[in-house]
Amino acid sequence: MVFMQSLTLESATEKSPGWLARIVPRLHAKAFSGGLIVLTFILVGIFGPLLAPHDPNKQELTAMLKPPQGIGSPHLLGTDNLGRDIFSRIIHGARVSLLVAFAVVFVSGFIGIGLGAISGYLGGKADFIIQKSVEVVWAFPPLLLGITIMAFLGQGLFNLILALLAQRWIPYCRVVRSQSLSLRERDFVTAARCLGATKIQIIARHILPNLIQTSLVIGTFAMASAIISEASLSFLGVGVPPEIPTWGTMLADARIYISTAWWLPLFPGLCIFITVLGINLLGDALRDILDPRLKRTGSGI
Amino acid sequence: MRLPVRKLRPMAFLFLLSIGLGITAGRAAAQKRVSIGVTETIETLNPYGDSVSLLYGIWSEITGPFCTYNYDKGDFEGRLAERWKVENPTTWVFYLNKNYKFNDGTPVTADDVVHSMMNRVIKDPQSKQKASVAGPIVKAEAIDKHTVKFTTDKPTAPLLGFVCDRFIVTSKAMFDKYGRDVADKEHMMGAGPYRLKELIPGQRLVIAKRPDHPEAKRNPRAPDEIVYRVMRETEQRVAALLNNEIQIAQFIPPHLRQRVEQSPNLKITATDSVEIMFLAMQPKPPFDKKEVRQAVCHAINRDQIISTLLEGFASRLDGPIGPGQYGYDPNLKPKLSYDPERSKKLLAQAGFSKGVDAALQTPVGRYTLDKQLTEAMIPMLNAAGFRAKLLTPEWPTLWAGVQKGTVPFYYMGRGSVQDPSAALHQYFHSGETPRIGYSNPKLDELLDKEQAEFDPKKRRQYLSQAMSILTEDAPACFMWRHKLLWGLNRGIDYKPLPDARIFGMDIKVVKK
Repeated sequence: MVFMQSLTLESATEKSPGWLARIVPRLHAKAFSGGLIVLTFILVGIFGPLLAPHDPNKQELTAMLKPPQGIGSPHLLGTDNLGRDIFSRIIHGARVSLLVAFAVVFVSGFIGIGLGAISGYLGGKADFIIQKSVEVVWAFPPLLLGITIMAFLGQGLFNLILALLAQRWIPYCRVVRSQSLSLRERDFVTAARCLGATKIQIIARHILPNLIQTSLVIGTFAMASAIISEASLSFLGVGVPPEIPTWGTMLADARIYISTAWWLPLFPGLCIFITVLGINLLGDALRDILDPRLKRTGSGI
Repeated sequence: MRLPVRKLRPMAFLFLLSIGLGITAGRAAAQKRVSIGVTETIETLNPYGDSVSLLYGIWSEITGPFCTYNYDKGDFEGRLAERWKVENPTTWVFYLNKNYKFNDGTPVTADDVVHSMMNRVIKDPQSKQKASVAGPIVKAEAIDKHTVKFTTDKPTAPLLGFVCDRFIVTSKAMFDKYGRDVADKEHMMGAGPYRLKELIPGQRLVIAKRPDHPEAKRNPRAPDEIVYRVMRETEQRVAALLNNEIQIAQFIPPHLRQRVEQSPNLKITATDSVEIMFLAMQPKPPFDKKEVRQAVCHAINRDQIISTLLEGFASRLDGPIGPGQYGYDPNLKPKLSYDPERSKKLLAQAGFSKGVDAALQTPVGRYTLDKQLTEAMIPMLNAAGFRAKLLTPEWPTLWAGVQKGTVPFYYMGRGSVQDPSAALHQYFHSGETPRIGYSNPKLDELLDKEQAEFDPKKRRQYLSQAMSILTEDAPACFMWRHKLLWGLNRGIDYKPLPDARIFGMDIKVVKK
């Protein structure tokens, strides 16, 4: 209402519009809300140790299962079954989720975009081999593949990232390949070829830069999916070792207290929900902004 | 249109009668089947293919307990083997009950017993029961149709602890006719009071009562059918109990006790378990040094864990066994009590003044609060100078590793320890099993002596000396014995056994 009034006043006085009036129409609701959540998530992940009031692994057996005590109390969100501070564990859990999500997105993006561009541009045998590999890996149910890999490698953060990488590169590879197939027939690529550019130069200088927008959108969805998968594997007890607090392990530990201590599963569950929602909103918004055609047709990646 | 009242009366009568009959039938049906939520998995169709406490009980119920331990009498008593005698220190003669018959009506003979012991327990490569059931038995032979002789490689006073409630007798005729796998899968013949009705590995096992069985007369109110449902999650068991999906739930954790008791249809029954819980340490670096093993024992504050996480539902162990178990010595020394400073000194003596890595492995959901209890141990170990971390592999992975001797440091329980002889041999005698891989000639000598000693007083002395060495040398830290909580429907009268075995013949279905 205040904003409308200011607009009316500004129109009446015929002054140039204020900064807020210029920004608000351009603001994308999904991008704003999603971006805000993701930014908070990143900041909490980075500055977690400074924000957490307690050591996330510090046990206080005499103070176990304390319900949330509110702002100003020693345990804002209560304590868990071993007397550990839930708020501190949530913050440190964000750090693990952030690390896993970014590692998975960047490494899988590097592999997937690279292979997709090669597959699409070169075609022939290279395309055949890469796409058959994609089909073979894609045939495994993702969670089952993750559990199998973890069973072989054992628990650990690095192993968990490896398990999540196993299939995450495929969406990049498939989409990038299809775009590369189209790009290689474009005039600027033909011109570069005529000027004597090598295949590597064409892929690096002319194909890849045109794939960034699409990859960015895939990356956001891959990030959300990686966080869910990390939580799922940790929930199943095959993720990270118990001494590393993650939202998934917090949920797993809360299972046997679900009927007697509601705050144990609620807060990590909410964190996963809000973070994934935020990343998906941001991904949606990026897709709308970077590729409006997809928005019109209602199709997604 | 109005129907005359006179015409309505017979209809109403029939209607009420049908409802009454329906309710009665429903109640009768409900009394016939009892479902039990159990924690241990049933992974194989081969009754000799695993060695876990619950399964010994179930298979004993199907194939007939060879003999059983009566906790009320505090002694072993006959079943399929109705009596026995010690012919000489290495020869035991068992006399079979002639009334025991297999499902198809054929009598159980000494040949079936010999076949089961020799071909299934001892020689079959799939058998996991050689150490825990056969133990010192090297030969089984039939004397006549209903008499069998077991020969041991050395005098074995506690032989009944190996075979009672454990030794599974299956039909030789079925094995000869169909071969092992088909006989186990499709033609399971037993001589117990129940017969196998259905077995889906990892999910459930259903047994049905044999009303003609001699044991069935002992308890006419025993359920006609028992369903053992594998429910690893405690919340799942409690929810199933509250919904009347199951009528008996094993191992309710202390924090869920009140939730069960609040239901008017349910009750909690507690029993002192004879299962000893311990931290096993393979004598490989760094646990090859006695000081490191002792440091682990001094680091754990067992009293605090019992009073907080276990809410007092456990009793601390100061040695391998506790009160009520055969051979318990209240004056056993040394006692490796909680003393983190002593742990640090011991680690320094062992050359680890800057700390040492220790990865503790635990099952999850197999024992009461196993993961929570071991998680609580990690900061205690760290405070005493270890760099400890917890690993939680899946049970099949962990159990396979333990049986192969590839897990260096783990939390485990050993059930059915009425008499500790078999358990001590299984885990600590040189060359028995690779579960710990510990070897101490002095301990071996004492364990051999106690096993050979038929005089109870002397045997207790040997056991006490052996347990003193074990506590001192610490190949394992003995933690506690749980007080096990069972959730029961009020329509069930059942007193759980300290060894957590569940015999259908001990269950009574009573009216609500």
